[in-house]
Amino acid sequence: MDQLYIDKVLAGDSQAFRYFLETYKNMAYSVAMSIVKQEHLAEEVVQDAFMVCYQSLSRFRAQAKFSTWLYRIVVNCSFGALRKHKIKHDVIDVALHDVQFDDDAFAGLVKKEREQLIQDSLLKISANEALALRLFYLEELSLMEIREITGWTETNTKTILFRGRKSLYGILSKLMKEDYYGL
Amino acid sequence: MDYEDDKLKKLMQDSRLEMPFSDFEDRMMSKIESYELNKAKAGRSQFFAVLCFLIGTVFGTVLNFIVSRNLDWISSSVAVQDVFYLASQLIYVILIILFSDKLWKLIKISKINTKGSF
Repeated sequence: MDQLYIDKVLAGDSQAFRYFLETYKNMAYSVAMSIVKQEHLAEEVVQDAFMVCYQSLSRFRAQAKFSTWLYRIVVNCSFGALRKHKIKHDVIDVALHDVQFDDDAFAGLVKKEREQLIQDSLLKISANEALALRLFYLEELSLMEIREITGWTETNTKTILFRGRKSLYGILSKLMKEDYYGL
Repeated sequence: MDYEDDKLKKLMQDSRLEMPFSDFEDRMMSKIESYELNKAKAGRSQFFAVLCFLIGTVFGTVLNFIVSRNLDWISSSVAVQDVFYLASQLIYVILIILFSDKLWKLIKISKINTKGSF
């Protein structure tokens, strides 16, 4: 399906690009948010990424998956935006809060609360960890694909995933114990 | 190192985000349309830039030729004529180099914009 629309765009039908916007905007936004952690900046990054994608479409090689290629552009644009805006996020020291995660209590929350809790936790862990978690556990990409997107080595990817998992559970536990969630 | 975790996979399903700006696609499409419009304009400007450069080069050569033929009209002294001749040629060469450089940069920029960086 992607290839059909790529061919249309390359043939001069720029309106066909709307298909990619509709299909991939949420995924691109999720990835950008993992890294930049600010709504408006993430939207700006996604706009830039789609623009780069549109301009470079003729150089896309069909051997790779279009989504993997687009992820790579979004990741590069996001880290570029972090550098440009000189943003440094405060990351919670998880070792202090690394307590047993209570998944029964988590399941007991209503969906909206669970979503908010996960979003809050992902904003509090480092950009690399949040990115790795989203790509591996949410988008269910393979380690190979994550390596292709991020440029990390296999060992590095595994380490980031391991740390990310630990950080997320730690922060989730901490947030669930706070008064806001009443647990 | 253990990183496989079905519980986390399930948990992460709640982390799915949606683009909060409903007009995102329309804004993106109008951005793309204006990019296409500017690209066409840039193509025309580039064509005229090359054309003007070529006309200028021919005109400069002709002007230099005319100046060299009519140096008697400027001054009767051979030394002064030589200075004029040298100056006109020097100006011509400097202008050609400067405009070639500008033209080269313009072509390079438009190539990057057409191909993109990925």
